[in-house]
Formats: sequence, structure tokens, C-alpha cells
Amino acid sequence: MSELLEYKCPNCGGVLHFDAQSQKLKCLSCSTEFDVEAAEEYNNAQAVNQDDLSWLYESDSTYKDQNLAVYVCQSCGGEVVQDKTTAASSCPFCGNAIIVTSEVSGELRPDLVIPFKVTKEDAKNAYRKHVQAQKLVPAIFKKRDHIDEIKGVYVPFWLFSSDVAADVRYRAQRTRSYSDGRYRYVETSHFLLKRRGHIAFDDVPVEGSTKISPVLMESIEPFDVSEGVDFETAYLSGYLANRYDIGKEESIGRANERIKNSTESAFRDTTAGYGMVTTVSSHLANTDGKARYALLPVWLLSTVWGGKTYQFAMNGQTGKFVGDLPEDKMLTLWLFLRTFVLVFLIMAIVLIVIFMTAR
Amino acid sequence: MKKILAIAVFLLLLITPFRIHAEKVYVIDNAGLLTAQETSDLEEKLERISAELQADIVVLTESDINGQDVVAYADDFFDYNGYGQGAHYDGVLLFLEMETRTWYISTSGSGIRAFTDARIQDAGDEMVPYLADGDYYAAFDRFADLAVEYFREPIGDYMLYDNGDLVTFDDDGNIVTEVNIRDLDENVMYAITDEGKIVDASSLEDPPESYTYFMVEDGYMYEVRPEKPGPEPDRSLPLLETGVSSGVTGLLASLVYVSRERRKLRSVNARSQASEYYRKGSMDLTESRDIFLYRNVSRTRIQRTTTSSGGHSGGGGGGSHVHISSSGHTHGGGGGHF
Repeated sequence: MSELLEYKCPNCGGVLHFDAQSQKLKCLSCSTEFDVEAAEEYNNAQAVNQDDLSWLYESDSTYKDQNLAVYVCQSCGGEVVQDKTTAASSCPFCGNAIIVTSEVSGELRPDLVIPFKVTKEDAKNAYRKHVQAQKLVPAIFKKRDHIDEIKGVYVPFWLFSSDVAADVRYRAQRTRSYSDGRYRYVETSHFLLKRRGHIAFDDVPVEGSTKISPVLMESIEPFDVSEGVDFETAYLSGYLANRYDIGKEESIGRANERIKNSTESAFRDTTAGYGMVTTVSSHLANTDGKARYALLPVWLLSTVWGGKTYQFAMNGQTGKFVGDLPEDKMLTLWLFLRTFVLVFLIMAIVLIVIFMTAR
Repeated sequence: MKKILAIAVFLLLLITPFRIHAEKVYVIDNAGLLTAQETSDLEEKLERISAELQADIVVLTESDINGQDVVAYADDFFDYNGYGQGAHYDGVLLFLEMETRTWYISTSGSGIRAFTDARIQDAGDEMVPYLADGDYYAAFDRFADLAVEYFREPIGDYMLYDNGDLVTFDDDGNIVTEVNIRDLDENVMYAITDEGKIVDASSLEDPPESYTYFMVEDGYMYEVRPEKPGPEPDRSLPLLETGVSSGVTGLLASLVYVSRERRKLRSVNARSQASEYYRKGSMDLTESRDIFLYRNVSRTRIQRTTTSSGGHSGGGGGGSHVHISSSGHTHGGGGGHF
């Protein structure tokens, strides 16, 4: 059962989008701003009628694909086909914001959302800065302006918190050298170090959508979860959102891996006076483990160059921008040559001057 | 009766050449450093070369001489036990004192010209690694070989006594000049020619390598090396060196710079740790133990550079400091520790 939600301005009936700068819902037509709760209350009253309408249209659907769902846009009546997991998007015909409440309610309701703090303008500027400063990116790539296609997406994450009981063993070495005039001696002492104790981690994020690259999401960490708020669908208005399609059981492996590495490293820091310390074995047990489902804000841009897809992401809360860039080999060669010639000439001149004055 | 006596005496005289006479012993190992076989082999070798060189090559070891002066002990041993061949008591003695781990070479007669001060130190440098290792036979064997080499080519140009008397030799070992260094001008470079004459070295246009050069300063005599005028040094810019250094610097700089720029293209990395999510203050160790397992010790011998003994023969000879021992004989010598 799907529900489409479109937030309408109480003032003029126009489209409401969540504005990152003011942290309120803002009308695109009359620019009036509304508190999130207020807009929610207003729209709850509208929900009842919309329910019946979309129900009626969906039964006519001709699409049989399991992964897709069809909706009807309330503003223009157009058929919107999108991935089943998409929770928020915009109508391709009229640009209206669409929120599929069934994808974010009940079991699928997020525990927490961090609203966008960085605007689209900030994101575009950050992208331009990221690319222009590079010396080895092909010039045409720099000129291409797909920046407007940058999308604000709420990405689904699992946040794992856990108290860990750990038992780690390390091998360590200490060396000492001395000589007695005839021989040089090297004495290597080997130790086994045992460390047992507790350590806790809060809200270790693991990205939960098959549609978004997990490595890209790890690159824009960290998110400050303390700025997170209780989920309200209103925050999604004007942005894209996906709900999770990787469950928390599948995600916990990655969280455990990172927690394990951090624990081994933290316990290793308590050893001192050894040359080489390596982990031999570690055993971790989670106690008091909690998982929260959160939607976190990310600006995403994808572009194709030379047959490869380049993805850029910006943390919608902190503004951290990442993305691998293509390399123009000719520019690299040219940079190499001109650096070489420049340094060569400078060095040669310096040597000649020294030679002359030393005479 | 007289006839029988005459025949008896005649027969006695005949076998005289075969009489067993008290022979000199060349290996006196009082410290017991060598095995019986080693002593016998060394004895045989030293006896043979002493006969060939017409100079006594002797090895003496003592475990402890109770603080007596090593130099005097070695000289006296050589003199009072009848060592030294010919009118000048030609020979050389290697003495090892174990208590202080000292080695000392005492020279006499032609040995003074064969084992110059420099050559004595070279011999020491070669022997000390063996001595330090306890391989005494190898050290003494090397000493014997060096003795053969040095006596065959004696290069000593002079003898300098403690009182400043300087005696020079020609290449055949004949005494040519006898002066006292106090009578020489200070801060002037002198040369001892191959004929044994002392000349002012600045008067020589092309100072030959085979002369010994020295200066007197503060009553001391110092051997020096002559400054060769040589060809005019090339004053032009070393193009090759400049080109290569600039090229290498350029290469390194551009490699480093280009790598940095290339690395800037990558910003997407997985995070292997969760350190930002550590709950501050939550780490608490209940058990922390460092257990010692075992220890390994490895050792490498320290290489001591040995100078080849061939380096000095044929060059400017050099000479020896000498002194008069208790017996009135002249001895040269030098030593060190192991």
C-alpha cells in the first residue's frame, strides 16, 4: 500500500521544500517559511483523501517488474515509475516533491534523520573548487557543467553502538646493540603482550543501500549524530531519499570489522617501549549492542568520462567533498617535463654561481 | 801408544762437524700459547729463515713479567741470550706479554733498517686480529713471512736516537751522515737522499718518491710527504658534474611533485577503523600483562682494515727511532696491545 505525500503551502498552495539554510520548510512560490511540525500537522489533515486516490490508480498499473513501483502525481496526474526503495523524489513532469510514506513508516520508519545543513549552492561551489584546483584533470572535464544535476539525497545508514569486551594478544620485540671491540652484538628479546578490557563505540555508520557506493559514503565521514532529530517526513520534501535494502544483520559485519581494528589499535597504544608490535589474536564480544536506522544527508553527482563513471559526494552536514577525478596523461607528462626543466635550470645556475664565487 | 792417540784425535776431529752443539732456540713460548706441534713447526721455520736472512728471527711469549718494562725486557732477552748475527747483531724479536696483552717488536742491526717504525706498526695491524682471536700460531707465522719480506728489502733511511743523534744510511746500509737534529734548522723540510745525504728539500726540482722527507720542530723530528707541484688544476667548469647533479635534482623534484599532484586526484577511501565513534573515556583495561618469551643474540666480527705490507717498499723509506739498551747495543722497536 503506497501513499504519496506532497507538502503544500498553507499560504498559497505552492510546493514546500525543506530549506537547509533556515532548517524549515520553505514555499517555492511565495517563500514563506514554516516549522516542520506545523507543516506536518497541516498535511496530516490532507492525507486521508490522497490515500483513496492513489489506491485507485495503482491497480491499473501495467508494470510487472518486482523492483519498480508506479505512482500517480497528485499535481499533474503523470505516472511516475521509480525504484521500490525510493522514499522521496520529484515528479519528472511537473517537478513536484513526492514522498512515499509507506517506505518510511512502520518497520521502515527511521529512528533518526540529520537534516541538510549544506545547500545546493554550497555543493556546487564545493565541486567547482574541488575540480578547478587540480592540475592533472583534463580541461574539457573541468569545463563540463553537469553541476546542476547534483542531487540532494538522504542515504539510509545503520548506526551501530556497542560495548565491547576484548581480549587481544600481541607479539612484541625489543632490540639492544652493544660491542666489545671485537664483535658487534644485537640482542633481540621477544614478548607476548596480553590486554583485556572494555571499550565502547557509538553510532558506527554502515551504509544500507545497494544503489549507493559504501566506500564513497565512508569517505565523507564523520557525521555528527548529535545533530540528528526524530524523523519527520517533512524533512524529505524537495530531496531524494532511499530506504534501506541491506538489512542490519548484513551490515553488522562491516561495523564489527571497523570496531575490531580500532580496538586492536587502541589497546596497542597502551604498550610502550617495544620496537615492533603485531596483533597475534583478538577476540571481541558485543554486549549491549544497539542498531539505529538513520537517514543522512548527502549531495551526489555522477558523471561519465572516457567510459568510466566518476562519483562525487559531499557530506550534507559537514560539507566534506570527495570524489576521484580522471587524469589526463598528457598533462601529467607536461607537468613532469616543465618541473624537471625548471629545477634543472635553477640547480645548474646555483652550481655555476657557487663554482664561480668559490674560486 | 802415541800412534793410537793420534788416530783417536784424528777420528775425533773427523766427527767434529757432526757434534751436537747448543743451538739457538727461536721459539720461547713461556706463556704456553702454542701446541707442541705448532712450536715445532714454527721453530723449524724460524730456524730456516734465520739462516737464509743471516738475521735471528725470534718469538718470545711470557704470561706475566710482573710490571717490568716491556721494551727493556725484550731488548735484554735478545742481547743476553746471544741472539743477533754478524758484527751488528742482526735480528728481530717479537715479544708477547699476556698479562697486559702487549705485543712488542725489538730490532737490532740490519733489523732496524728492515723493520722501520712504520713497518712495525703495519706488522702489528696485521697480527692483532689473530692475536685478539687467540690464533697465535697464525700471528707468528705472519710475522715470520713479514720478516722475510722486510729483510729482503730493507728500506730504513735513518736511525734517530733518544738524544737527537741522527744517523743516515745509503741504500746499501752504510752509515753516511751523523748529525744531531738540534743542529738542523727548524721549519725547513729536509730530504735524505738515496745516498744518505741530508739536503734541503726545497732545492729539489722534482722530489723523488724514494727519498725520506722530514722536518724538525720543537726538538722533534717529523716525517712528512713532499708537496707535489703537479699539473695546473683544471679551472674550467666541470660540465659533466653540473649536468648530472642538476639532472638528478630535477628528476627527483619532478617525480615527487607529480606524485603529489596525482595523489590529489584520489579522495575516495574506505575507512578501516571506527576511531571517531569511540565513546570517550570508555576504554578500561582489566588485565594488562607483558610476558617475556625468549632472547636471541647475534654477533658480527668487527672488520679491521689491514694495510698491505707492500705499500711501503719502493716508496720513501722512512726510518726508525732507536735507543741504547742496558747491554750498550742499539735497538729499534715498537708495539701495541691486542
